[in-house]
Amino acid sequence: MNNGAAATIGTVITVVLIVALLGVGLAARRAQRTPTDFYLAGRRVGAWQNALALFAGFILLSTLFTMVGHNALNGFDAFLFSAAFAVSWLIALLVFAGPLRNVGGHTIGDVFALRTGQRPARVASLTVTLLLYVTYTIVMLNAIGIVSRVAFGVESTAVQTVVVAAAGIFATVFVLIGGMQGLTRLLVVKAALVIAVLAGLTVAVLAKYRLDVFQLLDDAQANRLPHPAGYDLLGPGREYGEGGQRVVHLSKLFAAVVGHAALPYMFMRHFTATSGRDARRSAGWAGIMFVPFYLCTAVVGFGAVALLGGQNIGPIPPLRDLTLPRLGDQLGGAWLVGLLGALGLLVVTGVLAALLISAVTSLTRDVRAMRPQPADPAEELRAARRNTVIIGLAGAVLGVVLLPYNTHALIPITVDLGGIILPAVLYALFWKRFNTAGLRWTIFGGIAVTGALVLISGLMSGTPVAMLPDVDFHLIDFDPALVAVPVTFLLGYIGTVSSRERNDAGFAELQVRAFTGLGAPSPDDDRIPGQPTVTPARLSQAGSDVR
Amino acid sequence: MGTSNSLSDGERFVAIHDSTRFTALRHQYRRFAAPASVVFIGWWVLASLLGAYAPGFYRQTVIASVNVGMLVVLGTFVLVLVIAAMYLRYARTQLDPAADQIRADAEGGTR
Repeated sequence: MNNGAAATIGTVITVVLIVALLGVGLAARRAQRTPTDFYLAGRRVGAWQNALALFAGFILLSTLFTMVGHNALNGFDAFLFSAAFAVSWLIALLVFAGPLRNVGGHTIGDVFALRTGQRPARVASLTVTLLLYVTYTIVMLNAIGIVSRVAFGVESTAVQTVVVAAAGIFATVFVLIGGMQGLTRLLVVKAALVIAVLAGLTVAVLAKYRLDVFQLLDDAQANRLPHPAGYDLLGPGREYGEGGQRVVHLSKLFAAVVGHAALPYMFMRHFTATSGRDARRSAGWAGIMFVPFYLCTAVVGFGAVALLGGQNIGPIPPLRDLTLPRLGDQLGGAWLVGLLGALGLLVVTGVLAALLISAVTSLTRDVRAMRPQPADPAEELRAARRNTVIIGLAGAVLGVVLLPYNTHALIPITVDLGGIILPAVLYALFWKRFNTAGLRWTIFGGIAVTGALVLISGLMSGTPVAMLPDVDFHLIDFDPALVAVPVTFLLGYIGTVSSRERNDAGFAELQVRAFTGLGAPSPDDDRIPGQPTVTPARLSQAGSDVR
Repeated sequence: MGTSNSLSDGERFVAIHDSTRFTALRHQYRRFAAPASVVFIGWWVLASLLGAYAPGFYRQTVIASVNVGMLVVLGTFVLVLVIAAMYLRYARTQLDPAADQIRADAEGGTR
């Protein structure tokens, strides 16, 4: 593989993309007058654009590069795993996408605040959002280093550090200039490029086999990397394993379904849609788009092992990300590898920017909601931009410092955070009795249980993919979500019934608004929920005393 | 809009929540969401467990190199498409008109 040529081509494509995207960001800045323009693109994002942005927001390096490598290495078990993410979309669609937009607001704290005390709702929202921002930003910046290594052959730590720092700074500058409007367009560009490249690769692989999928599968099976226990590529076993090991894979299949679609940084995308109906459509369409997406990653993954042979794909889990660039080299040479590398950088940077704007919105909006005095919109917009610079650069520094560590192990942890938020959202939307204590127990109990399980899991130590692979103090092999999610539901229940607080009126209001769209903020509406047009008297009531 | 109403906001929302129309809307939502959730969660749990505890079943050949397991995964993807499309249609044709009605009543102050 000619990494030098690929690196040159990739750099040129990346520079062109950066210039074009900065133009997009600058164009978006003109439409930015209120804080809601900045956080939510003024809720003016139509259903199709929001669907593409949702789709792109959920595509990480691991969704594209790792999934292809995973399919090539582990065959059936990886293919089954990819279906879990698609199933997860049904939860988002059926349960919360439309209702969340109908309630409106800017953060998940706005939704909780209708059911619980103002302050605890904001603290819960801030905690989850910032925790996710920190862990995910570390993972994403590390992924930038991985792309530069697998696509461009950059082994030098100094060069990797420069690339990682540049990505962190670009994401910060981009959000600062373009806000959510710019980010939405960046994600649409990312979606279009991902679809084009993945479709092109799929067609190229199928063309090599003259559309004979059976022959492709036969070759993949014949060329598979031998498994220590002798498992075939096309049957279960390579990840499931034997005996107690089987629970490990089962736990991952479970965690992906309950955690994936509820990742807090993507909740905002539901708020950006023009209406609850558009939020519902965009979630449905994004989920539907992921079906061909995962089928294509399977064709490309199986095609990689069929065409390259088992020894030439990423042969062990930590090297799975190599498979896609190697297949690109086989099919299109340095040009395709360069394009894949540039695409990888865009994929990761889009998620970085989405994480940043969710953290900035929570930090600015949730903190302000806890204060009694009304906020001045112009001052709030300045504060949001100031926060963007501060936490954007802080995240970049953290990513650079932690670059030498195997922080990809944090990915399952972030999915587990989605597993904490799902019980809270379900209780808030559907359980009349849910209250402040219930929210506290769900969020903080869930974080404590998940954190404790992560510490003693194979993600932290004792496995080749762990954060600290050289020491071993792990006690559990399964994904923490398998235990943490049911325990979080239970804690939320115990917390709720242990407190005498109940707010039936709050439940009635949330349900009526969530399911009918009554009082939902229209596009360009800067107010917080709890102040619907039909009920101006509410402005003076406690519990929504922000403005 | 609604300013002349003598009820407080909380009472208004409770009244709407208790109204027959809103109760019917909730039932209508549940009539789709509950069975659909049972189907896709049940399917997924079964598909995962069979991989762990009946791998031999999945390895059975169907046509050429395609085995039962591959068809189950394909079936999962098809299920996602079907349920998503069905819900989008159901919500548009059944839930939205009912929600519009409730909203129009509330905003018109003609409860």
